[in-house]
Amino acid sequence: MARILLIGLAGDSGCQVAAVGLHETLVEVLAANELIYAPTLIDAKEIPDKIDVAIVEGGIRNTHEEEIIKEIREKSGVVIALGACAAFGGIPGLANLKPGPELMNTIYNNWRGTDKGTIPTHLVSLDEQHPIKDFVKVDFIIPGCPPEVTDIAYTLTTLLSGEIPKYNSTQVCDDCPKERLGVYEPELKRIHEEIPDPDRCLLEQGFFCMGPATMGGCGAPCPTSGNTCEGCRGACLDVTDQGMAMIDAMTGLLNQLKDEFSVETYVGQLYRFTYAESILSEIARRRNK
Amino acid sequence: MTKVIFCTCGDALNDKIDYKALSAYVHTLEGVKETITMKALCTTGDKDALVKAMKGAERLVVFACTRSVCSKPIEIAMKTAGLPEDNYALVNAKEQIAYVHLDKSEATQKAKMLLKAAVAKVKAAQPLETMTYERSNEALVVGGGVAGLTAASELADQGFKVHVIERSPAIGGAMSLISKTYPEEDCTMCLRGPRMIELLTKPGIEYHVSSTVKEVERNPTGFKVTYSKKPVELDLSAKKGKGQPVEIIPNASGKYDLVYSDGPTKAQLKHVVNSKCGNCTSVYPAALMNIMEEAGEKTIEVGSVVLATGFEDFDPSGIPKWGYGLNNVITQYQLARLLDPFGPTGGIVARPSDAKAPKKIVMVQCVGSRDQEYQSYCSKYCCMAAIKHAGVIKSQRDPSAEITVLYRDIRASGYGFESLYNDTKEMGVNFIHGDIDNVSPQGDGLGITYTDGMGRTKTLDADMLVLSTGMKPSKGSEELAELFNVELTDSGFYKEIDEKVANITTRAPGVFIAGTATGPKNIPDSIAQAGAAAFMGANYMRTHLEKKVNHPVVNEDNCGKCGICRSVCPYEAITIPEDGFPEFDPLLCQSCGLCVSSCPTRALNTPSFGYDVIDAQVEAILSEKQDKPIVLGFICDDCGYNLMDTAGFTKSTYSSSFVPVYVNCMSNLSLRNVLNGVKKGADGVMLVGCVKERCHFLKGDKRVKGQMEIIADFFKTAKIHTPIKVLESSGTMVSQFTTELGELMKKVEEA
Ligand code: SF4
Ligand code: SF4
Ligand code: SF4
Ligand code: SF4
Ligand code: SF4
Repeated sequence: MARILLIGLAGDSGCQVAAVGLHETLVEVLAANELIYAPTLIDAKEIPDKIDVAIVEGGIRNTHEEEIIKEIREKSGVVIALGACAAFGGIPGLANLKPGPELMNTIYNNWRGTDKGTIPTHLVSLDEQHPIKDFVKVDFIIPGCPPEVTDIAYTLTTLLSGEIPKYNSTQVCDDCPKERLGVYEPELKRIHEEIPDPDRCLLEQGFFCMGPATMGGCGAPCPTSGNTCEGCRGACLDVTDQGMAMIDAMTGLLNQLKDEFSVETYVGQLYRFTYAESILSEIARRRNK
Repeated sequence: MTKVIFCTCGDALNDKIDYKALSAYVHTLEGVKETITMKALCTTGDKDALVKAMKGAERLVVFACTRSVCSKPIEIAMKTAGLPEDNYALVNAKEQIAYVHLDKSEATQKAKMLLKAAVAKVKAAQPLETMTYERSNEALVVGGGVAGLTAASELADQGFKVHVIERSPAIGGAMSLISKTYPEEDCTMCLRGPRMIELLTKPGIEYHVSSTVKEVERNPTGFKVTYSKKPVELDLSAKKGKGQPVEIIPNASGKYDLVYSDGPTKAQLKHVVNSKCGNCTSVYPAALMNIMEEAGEKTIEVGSVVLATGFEDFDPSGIPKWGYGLNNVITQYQLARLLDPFGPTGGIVARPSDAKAPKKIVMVQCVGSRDQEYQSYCSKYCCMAAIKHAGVIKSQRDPSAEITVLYRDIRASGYGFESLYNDTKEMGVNFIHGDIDNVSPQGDGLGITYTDGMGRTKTLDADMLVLSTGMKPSKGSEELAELFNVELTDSGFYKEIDEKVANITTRAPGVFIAGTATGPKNIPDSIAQAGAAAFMGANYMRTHLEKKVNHPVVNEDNCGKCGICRSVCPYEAITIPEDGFPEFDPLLCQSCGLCVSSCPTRALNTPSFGYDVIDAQVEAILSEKQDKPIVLGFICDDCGYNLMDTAGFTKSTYSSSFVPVYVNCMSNLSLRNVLNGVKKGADGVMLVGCVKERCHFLKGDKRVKGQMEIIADFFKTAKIHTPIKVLESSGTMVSQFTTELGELMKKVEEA
């Protein structure tokens, strides 16, 4: 009977909700194991000892979360990063493009509805959003925003049966049914700007689809339903920087991209989920110290 | 086991680099077992010692001088020692270290970094296999003029089957329509008659006249060329009493008529009179056409190509000062036709308005040539053509004719040219230095105003004015150049790789150029160049049958078949079968590395270039970083390497903070490599690639610019101040490099 912890840090509980979406598998898992800590589901204060599997949602944005993750690591056998925020920093990681204090000031003092507010002090913010791997060793990641329920089920059942889960994914395109002709429209656009040909690869039509630079395994639900892949499963295996991988590919295809491209418009496409773990932000962080 | 061989360049570098320290240093590197120091490994004296030194090494690092001097001796020695020739890395200690960094300890420190990178490089790279293959044994000559025919004949003599594609309905080109050639006034009859017939019937040559190239597809064995042949409609039925058909003349309806050999008949003279514009002179010797071939499209496969599409006369129509379009104003080329015994007038110089013999003839030089408004170059042949024609008229047609040549400079610089010029002057031809201003009808002749050499305005009157029009690239050269991927010069002629040392070779392997299609020239020069082009074409088909297999391989665990590699490849070397992984054609792949750097999943790698090899060197260099800043140079192995060498040759010093990593093309470089460098501690990055449009792999220059524009934007947004600079450079722009590096160093210090 394994002791499982489910916790949310700097995230939005979506992944925990996805975990609960396990349905029958959840029943099975719960029957055979013990959910010892899950504040989203059951009220709890202290982090218990002797955790077998810690499932962590959300990244780290303040010292409180930093302490918690360290404590969890100490007390756990296996730590799983659940979802994009825990794994790569996630959408909150885009905030790293602005220095922490400036950001706090904008949000609490200079935003619609928060004019001249008070900047909260009960928590000590870090300068940046971090994936949990910046502080502790992570054994497995289940990527996605939110993660696929099947991935969660597979990871848990495999682990609990004493085996090591293996992820065998390449890129989203691998599962994408769209037809690829190999010819790319040189004008880039975003999916709300035009209605795409439903059968043909979106990127070829000039829609900024992150599929090629994104770890597969989700079954490509977004492109299948006519939406560009936003890259929620992070960079592909062996790739250290999702956004740069995409720029390398796009400049390989179109050479000159700048006229079509502004960082402001596309940073949220290239790095929607992975800016906090990108080499770019790592360099920026080091330089600004 | 890696061996490191040091060469002291005849001990010349001993006081510039600390060899002892380096030898001790490389022993601390992983995998290095042995170091040997030699005095001059490039000399025959050290040859055996070099072979001995190499024996037993799995990988080799050589610390010597420029690759242009020592790579060959090293490779020969490796072969002798039984090692794979390409399994070594060379550090240029002389031109790229000792000569450019004068401080011994700085030079030694930089040498350490480069040695460490070289050791990492040979470890990450793999020796290459060699493959052999055959090329198609047929050749294509485009253009059936004197250059094309010479090339075709030479190729056929060497045993190759030759296809000649000619746009007009007959072979022979411009030369076959000129009856006399300079300087000896040889009669081209022998060419048009027996020689042409010989060529036309020569086994091994197949002519496709009235044909144009429509499509070219490069494949490993050569080219697949599709041409289309338009039908020529001609009434070939025997015509009583008209003699033999000698020429084909284009008529107003776009078709062709035959002209017969029964001498200058009234009808023919009338033709001259009617056609004021001189259309009558665009004729083709009838015997030389091949109308038997069926019309339509056909595809042939050839192993090499000679482009010899000749020239076209500059068209002076509509430019008032030359008066072309007025009665009795013709071009030098049209005069050549009038002088031809087989021409439209049977060799009689008859002026078009009334078929009378002109008594006063004025020739004007440099029409359209040496003129910024039209063609800035000298057309080279027209001075001699005018001299020749003036001489022929004086000596063989009408000694009493008054001939005046209005010239800017007389260019008579070939064998026998000057004496022909002198002879012509002696015959009484009048040469006047001056520039024409205006022509107008005057009586039944022409009045000409010109400015003479002293700046005075003068006049001349003439019965006929002959314009020495210059040469222009023939129509369609641009399309053809694009089809064969050949560059054009600013003037529109086919461009050679190098004006001096490779002036028959184009940037497209296997495509050679000859004759006036490469720029104005006379007949002997065209023939000489055509012979050379044929030789090179033949050589190309015989050799180049070996190739290093150096294409990427795909890691199937990473690849999701997005197809991006296939789309980026400039050489169409990649195919992705249905339900399969990318496949690489080892012959088509030029190892540019663009697919490797573009693959978003990092699924591609190559034996000798690509990610891991670049990253390994970057990391090796930066792991040796001390307090001094490091500027990483990602440098193209072509122009970039030469630039670094030239800096050394000219002893132009620059900061030893600059440490180069060579990539085979800028296409090979991924932003992930660059960022990795910055992450590992590079304080600045400089990318040195070929100058615009000179990239040897087609897309490198544009791609790297595109990447850098974006990364610069990202750096700005993320407030990263590491300077990155792209330098487009040829192998000689040293001062530009040192200046740019100096500026970059300043920014590094500010950052
Ligand atoms: S639509 Fe997107 S995910 Fe699908 S093939 Fe194209 S790029 Fe890949
Ligand atoms: S297609 Fe892209 S955005 Fe959609 S779930 Fe998969 S990885 Fe996420
Ligand atoms: S060859 Fe003589 S006429 Fe022709 S362009 Fe040169 S200088 Fe002028
Ligand atoms: S670019 Fe990379 S991932 Fe895409 S098909 Fe080619 S090798 Fe596979
Ligand atoms: S290395 Fe260059 S030529 Fe070779 S397959 Fe890749 S892109 Fe094509």
